[in-house]
Amino acid sequence: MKTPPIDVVLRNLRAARRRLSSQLLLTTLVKMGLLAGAVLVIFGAVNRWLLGRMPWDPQVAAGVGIGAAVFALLIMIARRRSLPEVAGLVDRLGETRDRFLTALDFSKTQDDGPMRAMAVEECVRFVGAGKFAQLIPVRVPREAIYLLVPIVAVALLQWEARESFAARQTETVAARAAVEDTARKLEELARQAEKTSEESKSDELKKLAEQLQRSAEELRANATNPEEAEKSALREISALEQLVQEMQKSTPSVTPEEMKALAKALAENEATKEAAAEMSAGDLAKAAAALEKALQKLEENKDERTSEEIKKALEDAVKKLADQKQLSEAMQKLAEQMRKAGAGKSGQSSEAAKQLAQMLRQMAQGKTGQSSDSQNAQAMQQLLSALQNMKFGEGQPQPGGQPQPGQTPGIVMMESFGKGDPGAVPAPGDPQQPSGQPGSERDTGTTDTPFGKDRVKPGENAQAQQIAGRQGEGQSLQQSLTSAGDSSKSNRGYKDLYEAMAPAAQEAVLQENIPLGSRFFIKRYFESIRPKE
Amino acid sequence: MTDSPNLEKQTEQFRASFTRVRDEMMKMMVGQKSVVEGVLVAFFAGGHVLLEGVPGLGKTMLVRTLAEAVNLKFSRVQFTPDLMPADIVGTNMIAEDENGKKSFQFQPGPVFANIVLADEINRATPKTQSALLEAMQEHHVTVGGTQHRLEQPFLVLATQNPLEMEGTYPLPEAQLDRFFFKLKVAFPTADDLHTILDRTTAREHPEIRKVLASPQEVVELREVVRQVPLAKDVQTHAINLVLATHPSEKQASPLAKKYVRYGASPRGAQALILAGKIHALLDNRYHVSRADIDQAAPAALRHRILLNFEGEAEGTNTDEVIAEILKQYAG
Repeated sequence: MKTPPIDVVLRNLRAARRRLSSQLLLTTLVKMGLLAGAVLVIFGAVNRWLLGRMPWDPQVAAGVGIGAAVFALLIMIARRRSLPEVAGLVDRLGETRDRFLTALDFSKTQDDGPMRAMAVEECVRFVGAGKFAQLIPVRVPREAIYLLVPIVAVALLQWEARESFAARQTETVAARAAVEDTARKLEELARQAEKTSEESKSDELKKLAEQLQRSAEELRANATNPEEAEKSALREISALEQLVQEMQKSTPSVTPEEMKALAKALAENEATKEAAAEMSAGDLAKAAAALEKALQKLEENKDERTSEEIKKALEDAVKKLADQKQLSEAMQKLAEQMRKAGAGKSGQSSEAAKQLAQMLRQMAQGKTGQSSDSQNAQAMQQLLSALQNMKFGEGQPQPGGQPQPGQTPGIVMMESFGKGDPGAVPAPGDPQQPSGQPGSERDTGTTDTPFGKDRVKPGENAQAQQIAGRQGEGQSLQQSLTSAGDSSKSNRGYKDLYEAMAPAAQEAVLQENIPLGSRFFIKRYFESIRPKE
Repeated sequence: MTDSPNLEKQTEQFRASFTRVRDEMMKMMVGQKSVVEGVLVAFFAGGHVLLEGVPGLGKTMLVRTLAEAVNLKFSRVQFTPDLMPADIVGTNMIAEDENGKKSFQFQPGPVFANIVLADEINRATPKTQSALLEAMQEHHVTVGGTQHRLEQPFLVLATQNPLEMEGTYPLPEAQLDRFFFKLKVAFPTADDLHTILDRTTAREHPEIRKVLASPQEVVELREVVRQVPLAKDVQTHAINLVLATHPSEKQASPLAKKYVRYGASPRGAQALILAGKIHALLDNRYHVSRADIDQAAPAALRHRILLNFEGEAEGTNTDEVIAEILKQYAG
């Protein structure tokens, strides 16, 4: 007896299998969605907080989503059930007493006894009378509600990142605007230093010009926070200032002014007139030789009158040198020694004269010519002054870049507020006194053209002075803090360092003899580097 | 091969006979429907039944009623410690013919009946108990070197008391395995007791009608049962159930692994399938389902599972093991 066809059974089973696959796809999609959400959140968090970037771009998000969907599809295909499996499942769910399973199994053998045919017939009849595909529901899995968690997390992360980056962008623009002026000035200084270095053929100035240019670029590149930008500018300027000071140390210790004064003093006496003439001519080697010749005469003591003249000339020169206030350290020592020699024996006087001759010879044997050294030193001094002015917020360029009357282009000057009387108490409301506001002090200094060749006298009511900071010789503490933007670690480290060093700095400020006008700048400088609470 | 309409008629006849015999038996038995159905399933499957229950629950009555309903020869053996094998299977006796010539003549014992009630089988010695082994499995007995066939159908219904264990001899595993089903006769409920009292203390007694005409009819019905087909997956399910009772098999349930010393034999699987076929026919189906197998599992497997010492000490019974296995394979 032939087994009857089981089309209706197969139709039901296939429909059930489709529903099973759909349900499996939904479930897998939800699971893959949760997984993709977790991946996106972790990826976004790493990008946002560890790498400081936007959490993700649309391509990445779309890629993860598509990948999850494709993976879910592949899983659904891989786990697609066979018809006997579906039959077993439908039989259990529908309490059909294994009619699907039996019909499917018996239909494989076409002729195997009358009872089998009867069994298949009965199964087909039973299946045809019912709707069994509905036994397998297709509905959204309960786990789908958990998808809200990654969705909300992703949305919050994206929102926070957008807000944060927009604020940072604004800060960066403001910070760049804040440092732009300083950077432009630094570039101007760099150009002028470059020009000067070409004229004087000085490598040091060339390096300095390059350093200035680099500092300007770094200042622009690192400008992300307006407050930090200001500090960063100050740091850059301080570093440049220190660099210039270090370079200054290698320059000759006697300035041209001192040299002129010495030549003038020596010229007043007949015996040392020859040395003075050579010194004025700029030939220090010949000047030293002439001086030694005069000393030789003094030692031979052949001519009492000449000896006395030379001694007197030297003493006069030393006295005049000692009266000069702009003496360098080396010249001060020499003057002091000669002053003592003037009061003692002639042997001591001649010893001091020997030292003077030796110093002149050393200067003559310098690596670069005296004229270029002098030019370099002047340029560096002017550069240093310009940097100090920039640091203190002074020397804003005039509109049009033209100097004010009474000022000389190509020089950087700071006007003394004491008007020649350091002990004078300023009257209340005096506009010439520091107002406490940045840039409001009456300062005639300018950085427009700090490398001018001529120096003119300052205004009638003011005394022009060049103030050059100098590294102290006492104990110092330097500490480098690794900083990465707003890293709290570096902030904390800086705060600790500041608290440790602030008392010492305050004590130094109180003890040192600081001009009244500069005290405010120093105070403001320490205020600016004070860490924020 | 029987053609389809005839087969359909036979299955109809089977269902009718089964139902009528059950109804007749239920006239005498109160509240023991599952036991009655179990006995009938074993009867139509050609197996023997071990009834376990305290005295007075109607075990003997059940067997007697069955014999009356199916119109078969019935005998009863009360097992006692001094009962000898010959008392069961029969013996050769000297007989004298008309000419005065003497010869040995076989005197059949009570086992020569269609339905044998072995009452309190665990009270006899193992030697006597084993006298039933050959009869139950081979359907013949050997006395004095001569084999004597038993009449068909042959059914042994043994009873045992689970409480009075003193002076008893528990049945050996080999003999237990020969029982198709082990049925537990539960104590009746209060309502059932009312009915029992009403029926047994009244003047009129219910009359049992004979449902079947001859023993041959029983044999034919048994043939119908064996024709019921089953799918391969259903057979696999039965095999899995049996294998799950073996602690060493991978299908073993946790309880079986812990408390079972030895699981069910292949006779257990045979019993499952045959009982499943009868359940399918009774359910108007021509195929066996897994539910049919599950329905027969406790009665077919409970006496074939041997608990280990730990299982005995813990008070676990085999029904718990079977329940866990059924739950495990319920999907």
